[in-house]
Amino acid sequence: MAERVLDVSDLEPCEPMERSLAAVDELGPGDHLRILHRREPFPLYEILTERGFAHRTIEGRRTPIEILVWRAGDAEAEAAVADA
Amino acid sequence: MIPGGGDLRFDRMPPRWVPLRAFLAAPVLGGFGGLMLGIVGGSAAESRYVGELIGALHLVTLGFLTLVMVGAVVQVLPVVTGVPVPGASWVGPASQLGVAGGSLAMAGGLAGRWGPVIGAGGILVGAGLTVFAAAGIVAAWQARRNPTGRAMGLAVVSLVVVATLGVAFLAGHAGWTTLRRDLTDVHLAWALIGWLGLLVMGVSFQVVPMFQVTPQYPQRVQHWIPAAGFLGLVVWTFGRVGRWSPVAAVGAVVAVGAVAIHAGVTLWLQAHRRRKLRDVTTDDWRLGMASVIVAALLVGAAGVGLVDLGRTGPALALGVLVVFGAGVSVVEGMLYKIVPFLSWLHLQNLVSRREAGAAMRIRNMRQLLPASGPRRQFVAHLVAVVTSLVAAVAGGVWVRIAGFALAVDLWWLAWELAGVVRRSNQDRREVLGAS
Repeated sequence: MAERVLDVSDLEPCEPMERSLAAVDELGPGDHLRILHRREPFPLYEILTERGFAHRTIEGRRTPIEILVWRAGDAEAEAAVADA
Repeated sequence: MIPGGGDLRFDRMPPRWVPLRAFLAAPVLGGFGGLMLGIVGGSAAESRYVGELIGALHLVTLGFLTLVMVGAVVQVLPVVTGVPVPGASWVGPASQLGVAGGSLAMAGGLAGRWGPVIGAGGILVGAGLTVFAAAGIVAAWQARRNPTGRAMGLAVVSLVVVATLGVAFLAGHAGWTTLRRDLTDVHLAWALIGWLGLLVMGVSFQVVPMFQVTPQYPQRVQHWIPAAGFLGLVVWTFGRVGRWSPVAAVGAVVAVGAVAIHAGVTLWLQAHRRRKLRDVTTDDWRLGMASVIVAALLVGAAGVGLVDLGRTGPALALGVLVVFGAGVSVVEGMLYKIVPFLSWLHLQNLVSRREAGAAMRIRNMRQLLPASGPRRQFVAHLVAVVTSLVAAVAGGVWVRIAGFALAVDLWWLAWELAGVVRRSNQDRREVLGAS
């Protein structure tokens, strides 16, 4: 169980989505990904859902937006994200 | 609403072919405007009222700029505000067909002095823009809480003024009514500051921070500058038509000041990019915003009597700065981001929806549009802008050179964009074939 952090806030389209999709594919059981972004990536949400991931968007500390992503149905990751 | 961010809703995008078709056809049409100037040569620039010049210029302003801008509104408004343009799937194609066909007919009619063809062009453009404006105003009204939606709404209202006067002029050229040349400047001001300027503002609030990785536009700029530009135009128009010079002067200062402030803020944001990588879109926008500022200085110089914009040379130079220097540059830069981005996004969605295709690697934006082609095309665009400025002042053979340079500029752009669509279609076939 681990948090992985990916900062895409300085990248231009389509790099943030490419790197985010590559990073979520590497999530193991209990893991979640924290994506640091400068704006809410609406197109990413639909693709994450179709690929079997859940997500939660929160106001960021270092960047305006943070998106937490985990494998849908992974209770351990979901509990970790709830505390994030 | 997210702090510091836009409100992009790509899941509400219209079908990809709606904007792409317009984005590909537009530079082809605009290039014909350059070709027309190249063929006609120096006689086209003897006066701002020469039929061939008006026809060629409208192939650029209607055939290129407006065709792209109609596509951009149909595409961007629903994406940034969540409010779809009513009937987008038929409003887009219908209005684009009217604008494209109408601009070709009016250019041919004006060059050949064929009254019925000019009239037919006016009817086609008028019908196309009426369909677009009706749907655009409804959507913009629903999206009025969003700064981009508001600026686009004001731009579409400006388009109604431009189109109404334009169709009346065409009826005059066709011999159906009296030609009111005294209203030419009103048509031009609403076209270049209202329709072009306000739309570029609205679009810039989203695409400049997003694609050029700049800070966001200040909230005050987003809220007040488009409204000030529109209000300035209204005041200037009343002053101009009513022959109240002080009122017209105040309106002109506010309207021109608004576009100049927006241009200055955009240049400042670009100077504070987080990643200062060389990028042709940033170069296009820099050239565009610098042209706006030079054009504003030219208007200011005319206001204090240093330049006479009543003379053909300075008037044409001002037009070249705004249309080619600002409008064409910004739209070219926008197309170089929006066409590969839309193509890539639709491919990405397709891959995600197909289980067998999920493992496939599709080309990214840089692979869909390798940087070397646009960079060379930008040099061709610079040549077109500079030779057009020389042609405006010197006339003669320079008009021919500038015309051909403009045709090369826009057709080269069309070639680069067609390459994006060709490459994304290859990937699309592979994804569909693997499923």
